[in-house]
Amino acid sequence: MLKRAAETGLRGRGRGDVATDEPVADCWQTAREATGEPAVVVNANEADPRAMADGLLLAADPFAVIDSAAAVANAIGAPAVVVYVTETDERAYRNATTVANLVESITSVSIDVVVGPDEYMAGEPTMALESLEGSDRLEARVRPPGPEEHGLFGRPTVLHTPRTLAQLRRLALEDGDVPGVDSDPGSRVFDIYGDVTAVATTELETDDTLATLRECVEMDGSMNAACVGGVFGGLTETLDVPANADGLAAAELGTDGPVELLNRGRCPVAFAGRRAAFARKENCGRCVPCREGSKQLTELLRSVYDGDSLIDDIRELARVMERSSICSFGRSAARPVTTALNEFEAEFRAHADGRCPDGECTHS
Amino acid sequence: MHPLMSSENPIPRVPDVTDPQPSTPLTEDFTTGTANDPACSGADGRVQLTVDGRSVTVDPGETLLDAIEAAGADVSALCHDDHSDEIAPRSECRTCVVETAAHGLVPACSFPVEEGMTVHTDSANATEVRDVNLDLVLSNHNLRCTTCGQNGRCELQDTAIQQEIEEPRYGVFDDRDAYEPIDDTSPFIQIDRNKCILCNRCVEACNDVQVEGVLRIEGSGEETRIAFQNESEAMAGSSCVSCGHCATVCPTGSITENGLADTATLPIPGFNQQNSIGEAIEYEPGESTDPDAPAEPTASTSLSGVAGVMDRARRQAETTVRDVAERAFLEGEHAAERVASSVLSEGQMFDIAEFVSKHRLDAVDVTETTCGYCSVGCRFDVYSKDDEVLGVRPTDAEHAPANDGFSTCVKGKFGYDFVNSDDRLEQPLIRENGVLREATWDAALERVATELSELTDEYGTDSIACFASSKCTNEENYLMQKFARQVLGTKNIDNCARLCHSSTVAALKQTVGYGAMTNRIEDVANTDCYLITGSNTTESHPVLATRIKQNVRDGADLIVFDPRKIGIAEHADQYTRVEPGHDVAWINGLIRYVIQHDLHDEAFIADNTHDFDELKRKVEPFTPDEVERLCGVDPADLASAAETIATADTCVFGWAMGMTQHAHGTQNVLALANLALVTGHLGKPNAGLSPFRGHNNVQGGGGDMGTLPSTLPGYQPLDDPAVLDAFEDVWDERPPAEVGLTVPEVFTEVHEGNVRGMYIMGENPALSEPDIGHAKDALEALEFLVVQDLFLTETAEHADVVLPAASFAEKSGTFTNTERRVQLVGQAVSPPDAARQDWSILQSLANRLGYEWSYESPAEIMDEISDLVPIYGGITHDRVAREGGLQWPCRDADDPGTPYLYEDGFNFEDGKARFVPADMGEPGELPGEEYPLTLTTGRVLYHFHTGTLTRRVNGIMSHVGESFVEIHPDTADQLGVSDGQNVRVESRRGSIVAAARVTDHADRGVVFMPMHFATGAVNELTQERFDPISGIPEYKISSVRISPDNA
Repeated sequence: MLKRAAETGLRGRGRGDVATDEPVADCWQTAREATGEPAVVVNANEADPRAMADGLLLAADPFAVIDSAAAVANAIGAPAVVVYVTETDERAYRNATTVANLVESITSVSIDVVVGPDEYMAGEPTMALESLEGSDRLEARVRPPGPEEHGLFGRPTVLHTPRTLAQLRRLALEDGDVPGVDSDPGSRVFDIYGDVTAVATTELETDDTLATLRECVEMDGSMNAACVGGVFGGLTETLDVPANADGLAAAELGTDGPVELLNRGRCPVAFAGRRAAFARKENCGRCVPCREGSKQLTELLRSVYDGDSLIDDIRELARVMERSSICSFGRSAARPVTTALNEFEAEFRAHADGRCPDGECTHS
Repeated sequence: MHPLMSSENPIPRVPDVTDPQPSTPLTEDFTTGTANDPACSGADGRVQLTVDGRSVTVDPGETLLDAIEAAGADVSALCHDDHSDEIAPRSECRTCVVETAAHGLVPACSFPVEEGMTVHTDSANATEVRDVNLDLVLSNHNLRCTTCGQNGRCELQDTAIQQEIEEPRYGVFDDRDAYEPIDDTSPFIQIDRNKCILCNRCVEACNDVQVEGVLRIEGSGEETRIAFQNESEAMAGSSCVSCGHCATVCPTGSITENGLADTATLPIPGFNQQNSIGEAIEYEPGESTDPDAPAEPTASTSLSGVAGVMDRARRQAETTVRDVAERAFLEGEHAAERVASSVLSEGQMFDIAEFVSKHRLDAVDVTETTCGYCSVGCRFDVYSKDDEVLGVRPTDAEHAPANDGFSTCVKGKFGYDFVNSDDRLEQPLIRENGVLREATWDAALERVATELSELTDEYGTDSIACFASSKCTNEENYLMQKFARQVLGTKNIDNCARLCHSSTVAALKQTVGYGAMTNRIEDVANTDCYLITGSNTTESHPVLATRIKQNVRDGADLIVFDPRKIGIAEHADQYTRVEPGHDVAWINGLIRYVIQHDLHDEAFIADNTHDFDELKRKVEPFTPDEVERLCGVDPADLASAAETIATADTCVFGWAMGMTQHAHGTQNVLALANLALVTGHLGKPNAGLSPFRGHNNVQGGGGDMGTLPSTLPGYQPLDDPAVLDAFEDVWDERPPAEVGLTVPEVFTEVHEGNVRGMYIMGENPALSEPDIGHAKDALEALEFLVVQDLFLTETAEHADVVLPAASFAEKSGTFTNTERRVQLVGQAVSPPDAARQDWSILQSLANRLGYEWSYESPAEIMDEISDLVPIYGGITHDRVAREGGLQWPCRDADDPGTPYLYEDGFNFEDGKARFVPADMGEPGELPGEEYPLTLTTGRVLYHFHTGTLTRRVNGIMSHVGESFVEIHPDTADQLGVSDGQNVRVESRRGSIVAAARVTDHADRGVVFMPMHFATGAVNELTQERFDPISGIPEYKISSVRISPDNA
């Protein structure tokens, strides 16, 4: 499995993975070579209720996830696998526990299923480790070295999302013959929600484009924008974007999976403001660019409504948050704002003039 | 609640996997609220890299930040700490970000340094990140420099000035409604969270340096704040031990020493930190402190200082300051803040703050010195102003080897009220018609000279006894014994070390050769294993305990044998409770076990020792069962301790009064020395016999300087004519060759009429002697008593002449710490009024008695010491200053000193140690029907010895203001005593009243009392029973009875 993963260059999926958009084989190698007995964590704690893919996979096909985790453990010489589930996700917990006992009985790996807080930040890999170590307050760890060298109780630790593990299993079952682009082989799972009649979770091969997602759901009206990549995804007017890591990154969008479709009538300025406020409220409080940055970002966006056109200031702050925050939370927190500015700068200027072209802000 | 969490069996959050990280039983329960970051240990080897085009090489352990500094570049690195390696990079402020070719933008404080790295500090991207992040820090900082206690010493201020911040992008935190009240509930430390930048240094200083687990970070996002692990709302309710580390490391005015809180604020009424914030949770002084003492920081009322300088400097600042000042007067309480925020830009604020702090800090003197409390020998800077001690802060690491350039304890950091205490003696006193009256120095010295001469003429030279002081400097103690032996010609010179480690000195001289700690504090900090017994290390030697706790947390084994479950035992891998008084039994039992199981170091024993067979014979009866019968030690505990000690690569044996203050104290220490020899843990780094000495200078002043009745300075024998010749050559008098009287013998001889006069320098035997009722009778019976002290102590009250002396802060000279390190003492302030340094008093008196002493300074006295004392042969003040302390033996100017003893053999002619088998003795008093409880005595963290210094420190008295007696809950039940209730404690000698503290620190049937108090003085109860070899009294065991006090 180590060999196949290395040959194909399979990448980690989702913000909870230790190898987000990076080849998983590299971090296995690091963990094997690091001092101490390695451990494997299945990170299925995603508190965003609209990002369903990981919970769904673990609950619906726990064997695919946990068997694959045990295989990773064997590959890197880890005697223990820990499955980390959101405390509110009873179904995932129950099913994972049943399968964990089963897999434990047929392998030499010990498997524990435990829960963590139903908080967005608790899904970030280093904060997941903090939760697993029993910390009563979560905050991100300094990196490097990352969890693959200094992870659970200081042991080398590989954290993968159920999505990554399911891909690995597919890789094994199909003997390395997986679809998609060479740079990001396999398929990716997307949750689609927002102004749709019914939410959906679907899988796209990485040589597809996001436009296919539009076919899976019915919208209430016409699409004004989409937020691609979860809570801190990027805003875009078009879904003509490749469904793989490099393509999404080139379009400055998030790779985390969830895609929120927004109708006409939804204001991107207000949307960006709400995401900045979410970052301000939910951050762990450790580093200045995220803790103080998200606060000032929210204030700057608010002052746009007061007629100040501070677009350069907003861009500067967003850059600093992205470039200097400790973890992916802070590094992605300003993405909704930056991408909204890129795509909808005219709407920002309109707001500074006291006008909301979409009408959302004047109603509220 | 969600069904998952409300089920009968709660779902686990922590998986059942192995945690390989070391911890102690206490540290594993610390809730710091901070992440388990990877260690940032710096470069693996020597690494070469390029910074801004310059090639630099960093040494192993150095970081990217060091490389940047080496290249001459500069980044702010606000949250980075350089006080202690225990404080890891927090990497939260991101004001040290630089650009690298390989990794892009990285924080220089925590990013691993790599060979061949290319670093640009001045790229546009890096500069933008640093600038924005510095402004973000300022946006949440209550920037009110002119009312801030840290003004002029603030790292944020320094950075902002250096970066020429004029108007920060996001403003500063000045929303009065959002201010948190100042926490002013501690007598020593003030917390102003409005100025906190969440660098976390204080949390690590508390948890990782002091290993105390008081502070933590709580909350998330904007609610993130410094808080207490025990969930107390304020300092007063926390478990803080006031070590002061948090204040030492705080980069801003968020945690400050109370004494320094208003050092550099505008000298205008109301311009202080407290008024700036408006609301404070106040400190309530303890009941037993002086009710008139000021509990709040006071602001100076003088404007003239600023005005005077203003005429000469910076016209612009002058106008603004005056303007601000006038408005402040008009507008009242919150003016400081309001005026400042409405009138000034942040840049102007910095200008004025810098101006004010420079002027105000110019008036503050900083003096490097050595602590005057215990013998660890911490070094620090004393901040003083107008001859008043404001506070202390650690000095540079290279000048502070014992405290790692960093550590302090509550006494060393905050215990200085006594220096400026109102009841300091400021004039000599002479007793006339039964009353002490102020007199001139001339009259007082004349009276002393006359009376001492008369006694000598009438009753002989030996009718006078002198007591030296372990609190005074080496130079002063050398002169004290010289005064006794040369000027008075008496053989009777001793000091209070008789009462603490005389049995240690006696035992170690017999077995290994020197009566001193064999190793360095550095070795105590780095050994693989400890046996600690009879030492309440966390309370008596807090800074040493800190090093031990750190090392145990990092994996060293700690074994504690003690009758009480003391603080250090909480961190131990093995704590074994022993019954007081039978220590030889378990130590001999350990030796027997080691030999029986072939765990002894045969090669070491064969090459380096004599008389092993005698030892084997002597320990034979101490079978595990017999040991259990004698002192209650479980055979399994005995076995595990023996195996751990014997199989460790290195082991330090640490002890204090719990071993020594017994009627068989010498035997206890002999047994420990034998154990160290049998296991071969001597003569190498990180191992050794470590008696933790008591007073700041008990090693030097209480021993090395010959303030002992049995040896001359440097432990040179009285019966060696060559030695006596050498002294006679320099002194023009031959020292008495006879052995003189010990402290307890002096008291006996007073009652016999053989001693008629006493000269006591800086000691308080009226409280410290066993059975003080008897001792006070002796002091009364004397024909003439001189006491030289800071205060009218319980002893001075009996004196005929009292001479006002200088405190350690008011003198210069040297102290020798517990690891034999001679360190400089610097004079920070002047003695009050007519008080004088002890050496100068003795010189005047010697000259009045016909000798010609002409020392210009303590340095000259040290020159005479190095002439006469071979182990101090290479020690001069110049060298000590230059080399940061010297450890004896240091025989000549080229000798670098001796970090640890016996590397090349033991201190005997043949270089071999002697096994001197220890005999088990019985305690002098055993509990019986009439007095059924065993009383043991000792110290508490906040106080020192008889409390003459610490009972005068308000903050300390608010922590522990009165005597108490610890009683086990079961015993308390039987006696019908409840916690806090006053009880009467009686022995065959006396009776006192103290408050009961019901706790299981001590076992059933054993009670504990501290030794520091005059009211409820425990030495009313102790007995005059002495170790026959060393003469040390048995303070640790008396039989008592306790009853509720209904008076």
